[in-house]
This record gives sequence, C-alpha cells and structure tokens, in this order.
Amino acid sequence: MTTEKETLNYGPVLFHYDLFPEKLEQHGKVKKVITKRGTFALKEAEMTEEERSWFTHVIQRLSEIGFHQVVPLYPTKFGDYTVQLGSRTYYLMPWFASDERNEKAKDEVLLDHLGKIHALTLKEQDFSNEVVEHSYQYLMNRWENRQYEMERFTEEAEQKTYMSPFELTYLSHFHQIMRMTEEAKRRLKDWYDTCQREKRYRSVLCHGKVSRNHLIFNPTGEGHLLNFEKAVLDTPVRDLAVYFRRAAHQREWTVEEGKFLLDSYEKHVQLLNEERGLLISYLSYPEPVFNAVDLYCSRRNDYSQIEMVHRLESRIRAMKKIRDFCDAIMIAPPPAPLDNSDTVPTKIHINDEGDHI
Amino acid sequence: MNLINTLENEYELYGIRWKEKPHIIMTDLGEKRIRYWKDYERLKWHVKWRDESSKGSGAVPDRMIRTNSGETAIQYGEQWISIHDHAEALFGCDEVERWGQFIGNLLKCAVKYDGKENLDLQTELPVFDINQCLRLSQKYMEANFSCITTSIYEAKERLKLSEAIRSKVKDSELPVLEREMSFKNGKKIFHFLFYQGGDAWPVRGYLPFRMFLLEWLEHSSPLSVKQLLTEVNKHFTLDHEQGLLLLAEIVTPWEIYDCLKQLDNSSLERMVEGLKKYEECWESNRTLVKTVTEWFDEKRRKVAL
Repeated sequence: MTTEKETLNYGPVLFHYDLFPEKLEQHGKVKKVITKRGTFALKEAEMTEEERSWFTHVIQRLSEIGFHQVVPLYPTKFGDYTVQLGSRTYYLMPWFASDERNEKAKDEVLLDHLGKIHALTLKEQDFSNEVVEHSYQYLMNRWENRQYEMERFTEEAEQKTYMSPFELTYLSHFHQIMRMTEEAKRRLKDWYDTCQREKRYRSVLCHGKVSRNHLIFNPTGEGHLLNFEKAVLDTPVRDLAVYFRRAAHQREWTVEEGKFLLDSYEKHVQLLNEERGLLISYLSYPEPVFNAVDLYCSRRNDYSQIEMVHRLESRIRAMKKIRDFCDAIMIAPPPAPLDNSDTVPTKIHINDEGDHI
Repeated sequence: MNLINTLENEYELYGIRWKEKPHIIMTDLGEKRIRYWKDYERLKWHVKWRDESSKGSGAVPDRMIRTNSGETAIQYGEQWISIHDHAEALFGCDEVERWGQFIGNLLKCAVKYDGKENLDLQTELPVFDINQCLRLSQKYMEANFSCITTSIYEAKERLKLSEAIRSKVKDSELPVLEREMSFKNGKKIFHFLFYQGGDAWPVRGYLPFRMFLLEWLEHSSPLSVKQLLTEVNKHFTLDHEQGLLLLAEIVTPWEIYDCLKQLDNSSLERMVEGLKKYEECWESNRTLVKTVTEWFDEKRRKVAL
C-alpha cells in the first residue's frame, strides 16, 4: 500500500512527469506507479552525470539504428530522460505486466535480441596495440592475483588439523579448479597472440548486465530489453560470458540448450575463432567458485557450514557444466569472412577510450 | 488561430481554458502560467538559469514546459510564449535547508554562466550613487533631524567599507541573477520547494540576493538569516571572493534611497510619519548588515579555531 509519506517522497520526481500517484508498489528495484493517466515503472539508480548522459544516448541511439525492442524512456515535461534528485537518478518507463506464458521463450528471445544489438553496432576497431596490451595485462594480473589468494587459502586450510566441511569440499576440488584457471589463462594468451598476429578485434554495444530479469514482454507478447545502465562498448563475448555463466547455475540448464542458444545468437553475429576462444577463457575462469570462498572468509558467521558447502558445491557443479559447454563449442565452425559489411548495418558512435575487454 | 488553440496544438496539454487572462490557464494537468517574451535573448537566459539551477537540487524552479517538438517556447505573432507550472501555496521560510540548497545552486549557476558567453545579453550593474542621496537629503539636513544626519554619516562610512572590500576582489566574476529574488516566489508542491522565477532582464551582482535576505529577515529572525547563509555556504562557498562580494553588497547603503523616498515635507503630519518610516526602514537594513557581518565574523572565527 502507498503511504502518504511515500507519495511525498516520490512527489518531487513524479512532478517532472505531471503524475499524481494513486498507488505505489515496490517490485524489486522498480516502483510501480499507478495513476489516472496509466501505470508506469519508475526506476531508481545511482549514476554519475557522465553515466546518465551515456545511458540516454544508448537508448536513443538504439532506436535510431533500428532496434526498437527496448523498453522506452518517457521524457519529463522539461524534455529530460532522467530526473536527478540528490545522488539518485530516476527514469520512467511503461509498466509491462509479467506474462508467465512467455517465461520458457525468454532465453531464446534474450539471445536473439542481444545478437541483433551486437550486429547493429558491430565495429571492426582500428588495431591499437595499447588497448589490447592493457586489456590483456589487466585481466591476466587480476586473474593471477585471485589465483594466488586462492592458493594461499588452500595452504592455510591444509595446515589445519581439523578442516571445516567447507575447506574439505574446496580442497577436494582444488586441482580441478586450478586446471580451469590455467585453461582460462592459456585461452586468454591465445586470444592475445591472435590479436597481435591478425591485428584485429571487434567491438559491439554490450548490454553490460544481461539477465533474464532484464527482458520483459509487452501486452502483445513482444520481448523488450531494459536496464541499459551498464551498457558499454566491448567485445561481444562480454555479454555472452555474463549470460552463459549465469544460465549454467540454473539447475535445469543443459549443454544442448546452451549450444542451441549460442547458435541462435550466431545467426546475427558469427563469432571469430579468437572470440570463441575468449568466450571459453572467460567462462572457464572459476570466479564464481572463488567468490564462494571470499564469502566464506568474510561472512562465515552469517551462514551455516551446510549453507556454505551447498553454495560451493552448486558453483562447482555449474563450472563442470560450463566446462562441458566449452568443450561443445570448441569445435569451431569455418572462420567467418572478416569483410561482412553487407550484414553490418549502421554503427553506433564508438568511444574508443571506453573500449576494454 | 487563437492562443488557446495554438497551445493545444503545440503542447501535450488538453482542455485548456483561461483562469486569469492573460497569464494563468487551466489544463488537464492543472494550472499553468504563460509568459510572454519580446526578446529571444532574454528568453534564452531565463531558460538557462532555470534548467541549470534545477540540476541535482531538491528544489525545482518553474522551468519551461517543452512543446511537442521539444522546444522551450513557441513563436506567437511577434513574441515568444512559454508555459510553466503554477502554484499558489507559499513554501514559507521554515525549511532553511531547502532554501539554502536552492539558492546555493542558483548562485553556482549564476557565477558559472555570467552572461559572457552571450554577448547580446543585457545585464544591468547597479551602482550606488551617494551624491544623488546627498542631493535628496539636502533639504532635510538643514532641519537637523538626527535620524537623517546619523544615517547619512553611517551611509558614507559603509560605502567606504564596501568600496574597500570590492577593491580586494575586483577581478572576481559577479553572478548574473534575476532582478527580483523573493521568498514569496517559493511555492509548495508535494512538500518540495517550487520557485517561480520572473521574466525581466537580469542584473549583475548580489543586489537581488541582498533584497532576498532583507525580506527573509522581515519574515523570520536574524538567527534564521544566519542559518540560511550557512546552508547556502554548503552548496556555494562564501568563504572566498564571492563571500566578500556579497558582504560588499550587503554593506552598501542601498536602503538610503528607500528611506529618503519615505520623506514628505508637504505637512507636519506627513513629515512625522515619513520620519517614522525612514527610521524603520533604516533599522531593518541595519539589522541585516549587522546579522550578515556577524555571520561572516563567526565563520572566520570557526576557521581560525
């Protein structure tokens, strides 16, 4: 239920839209605003001025280049697409009720839309040794530091007379986890070498926060993407890695399904061999397992041992599925011709400084 | 085509009808105010200060509602017309923090966009003329009214002080502000501060803010003026040159004009009444000068500690 206080809190924001709420409901990070003029979704976010202007640029640019499956932003009566109040930023969208009939098709639509956005914004970048070198070194250093932290955790655990169930579980999978880490690093090095040899890399507009929750269906059943707050120009592999890593954690997810979805994505953007290798590299790196260890170290008193072990085991299971998925996609199709200008429509404005991998 | 039809075509507003011709209309989205602009440069300046000062502020100035095509105004005959929100309920001067944030933001923009980028912008720089005051007061000085002789003496001293302060910061940019800054322009919508701006040519310097502080003092207390300055200072620093420029404007004896205007020697009764008003006007301004200088002194002491 809406309280008077809530209405007053959101009043200064909704005033910009000439909306007077009859009811406000919290749905995750979004407020459902029910008014006489219709029902709207009000999103609250923290963005800098630069992020705000990039965010609105992305939404407008997607529409200009012909991608209309984005939940539109309503302008305020003063022509702005966001409202800034203190450190908070708000933006208003139409409210689409969730339609459970479409839940099954969600992943397919999500990958299809990602493929379309990537194809529309695909750009062969002028080779910059500095960018590639920086991206490679940055990621490699980060991974090696993380690996070192995990090795230290292992050593400390091994010195204990009585290990905790969590430590025991972790240690029993340690060699396998390290093998995945080495595989990720080797694949990353391969990508770097290929870039240096071929003098090429491609960038697209990445959604930046790919998730099933960021796809909703309008009343006619058409899927629309939302939450482009973290959109960034980067390798297409970035969005794919985020999606597949998350998807593999779902109990019912299978390698076959993943393969099918990657194929449907590749109908829009055929991955280059080195990009496929980079995707395998990103996916192979066992960051989710390392995160479970971090959580164990920092908040072991907040959760029981059994909860911690369950979390770790579920992540290790997901990593195994990812490893199988990587094996399945490693059989690369014939390399795509590089000059595919017929299939690459208008390019989005590229901010080279923002490019990173 | 009449104005109402034009507005309905150009704006996403329906059911438009006059409430108070020619300024207030009723629409499906509530009451709106119409402003008429003969000069496009002036309109542009008013769009800019409204847009800029609203950024990140919990207070909202009456920005131009955009047309269907995103414009800030429409051309109607030989003039430009803009539409704004309109509210009646006064915000009052209890919520000093909100006022402080709004004025701080306003001053920040007023110094940043000081009209330099727009060479066509007409800005007036009010200059105090002591000689004119002396001429006006001449006939009363002979009668030796103590309040007049004392105030003229004090005015000369304050002017010297003001000039001395100004000479220290003569290279600093002055803010370009709306001619009339009034706390009565602060209205309440949803508990937030909605500020209804004007449409006159702007002025250069702190005189509008001085008038605002005087009005604030008349409706509150010296303590509240100090609180307001403290809040403004959080968003727009008065610690350096801009603070000195404000102090110089506060010390300048602008009120002597108003005091002298109160005098009327056409009859004894009017003269007595005029002198009473003269004293009241002088005293309230004196309190303002004392309050603001005290605030600056207290702030300096805190820094020194």
